Amino acid sequence: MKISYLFIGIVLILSSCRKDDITPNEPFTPTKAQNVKELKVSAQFNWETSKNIQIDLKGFQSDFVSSAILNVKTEEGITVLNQNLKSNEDLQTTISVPSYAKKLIFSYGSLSKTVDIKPIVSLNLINKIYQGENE
Amino acid sequence: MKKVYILVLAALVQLGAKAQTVSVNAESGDRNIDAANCWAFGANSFTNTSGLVINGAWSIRSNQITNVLADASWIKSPWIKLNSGSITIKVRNDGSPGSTRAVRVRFIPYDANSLSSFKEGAFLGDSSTFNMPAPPATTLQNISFAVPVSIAGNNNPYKVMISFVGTGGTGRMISDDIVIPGTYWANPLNNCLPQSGVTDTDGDGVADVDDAYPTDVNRAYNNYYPSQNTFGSLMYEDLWPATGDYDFNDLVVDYRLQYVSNAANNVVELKAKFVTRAIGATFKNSFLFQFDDVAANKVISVTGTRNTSGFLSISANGTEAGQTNANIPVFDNAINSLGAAGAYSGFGINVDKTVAAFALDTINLTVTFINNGTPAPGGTISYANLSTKFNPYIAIDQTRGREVHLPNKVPSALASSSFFRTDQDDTNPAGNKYYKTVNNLPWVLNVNQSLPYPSKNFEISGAYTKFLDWAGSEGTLFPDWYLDLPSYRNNDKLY
Repeated sequence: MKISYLFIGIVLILSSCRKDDITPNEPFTPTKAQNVKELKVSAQFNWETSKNIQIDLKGFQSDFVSSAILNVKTEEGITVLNQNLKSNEDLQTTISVPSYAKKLIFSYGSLSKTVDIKPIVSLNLINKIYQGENE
Repeated sequence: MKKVYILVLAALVQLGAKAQTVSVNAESGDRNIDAANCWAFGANSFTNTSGLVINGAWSIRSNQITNVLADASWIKSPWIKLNSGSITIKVRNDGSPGSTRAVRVRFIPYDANSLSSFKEGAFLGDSSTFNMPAPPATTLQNISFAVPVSIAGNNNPYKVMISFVGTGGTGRMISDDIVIPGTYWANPLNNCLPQSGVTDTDGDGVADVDDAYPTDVNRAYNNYYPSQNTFGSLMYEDLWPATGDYDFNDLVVDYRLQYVSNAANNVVELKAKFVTRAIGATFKNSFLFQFDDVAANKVISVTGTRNTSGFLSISANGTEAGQTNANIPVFDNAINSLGAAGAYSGFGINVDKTVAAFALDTINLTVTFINNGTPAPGGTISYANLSTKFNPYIAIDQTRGREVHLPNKVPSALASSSFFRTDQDDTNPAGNKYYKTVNNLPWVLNVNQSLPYPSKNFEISGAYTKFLDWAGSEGTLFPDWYLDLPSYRNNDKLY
């Protein structure tokens, strides 16, 4: 019987060593390499020079519903999204921006707003719609 | 009998006219929401303080009224085409002391020549004032101001400015349920200026000013990747499943994608431009791209594919045959495509500065999803759903199943899994790991701008001095490693 337990124990230890079972979230320490072949990075790194950003934009209710092209661009002037949008519509979408980009500029009709890039950019159009007279 | 019909019709028309009002009652609870509808509030805010609210859950509360001037505390309407009738408003004092309090109404015409951004003209001579009971009386006043006959129904836009004026004390005024007879005529998307005739030549619902195709009802706007005037670079190592020398120049293809959408936000067509710049090896590689999870029958046609030897099998709609998802063949043989078949020495094309360069090869490809307004049998697809599914890859050296993709991009249905986990490949579909080594190194780089690639025999980390820092930090350091910044490049090692 002891032999059976020992056998089961060895099987469990061996199966725990299979690389398939490595969980993607386990801590990983990047290496300092002298060349590419020496590099060792985590499974989460996909070698992308762009990053995906989720846009969560709220429209607003108005007595006059109008359409315009929503334009989103980086500070560097690279347009990353054009989308026809009604003023009372919400928009949830994913855009790809260069990894080095820090800010996005949203333009919609006469509205314009600059926001910091985060994994999820939430934006409410009404915050910027009528300038100057609200005190 | 006819007279009865006419009377009924006239009554209905009148009823309809009466129903046209523009109002604000603060029930949004957020002044900005009403400002979004082009109402403006000068020293007036919203309150839900019990004892102050007139009607509902919210009312409008002025500042302390200490001024007889009408531009100190006010509410201004959007542009309205006024009808005959009365402007109504509920007002009361807040119970604090004061000498006099009054409500004044004035009318502002539109003036296109005004230097102000709001294009407000001079106040009309017609104005009305209602004197409130002396504070601290808080009796609710249902005030009514007639729209001047001179402007009612004259089809010009006006703003109505309601001012709260008075002298002495600290009393404020609470207002609610402002109702103005007329038609809302402001455009929140145009600085709240009056609505004007929007020119939409093709009638697709997108104004000409916004429409990249103002005379084409089937097209409205473009999205580009990486941008309208730049290219991205795809840089391949083609010894997969074995690793190579990491010069990432075995095949270098620049690309620009132009997605054309219609007013309904469906993609009409993709116009793609591919520029083959370098072949740093000897393999005859094919180049294709898949739209992951996009059925092949969502494509109507593909034009521009260069299938020089017929190696790739093409369906009637131009996608690759035998695939479930839409796979778009670009070229079947990079060497043929570059026009180098006869002259190719086998030692690489455009990777050695000491050897004469070949002219770059450009392929313009069009993938049609909607033709003259008619979508493909598989239905329409939006830009958001299509652009995120772009999955370019090569089939190595005329072996169709030997595909290599960007890291963690899925293979096509024609890829052979027999290559997985051979040599240095560590693909593990069960773990969603594709086209990476055990140390998670890739065979392909996708850079969002065109960049010089390493010359023959130079590893990329020698040519781009920040590459190892970027990769070693998993993208945290030097996310701009590929830009032409001081000390970022070793030009001697770049082609």
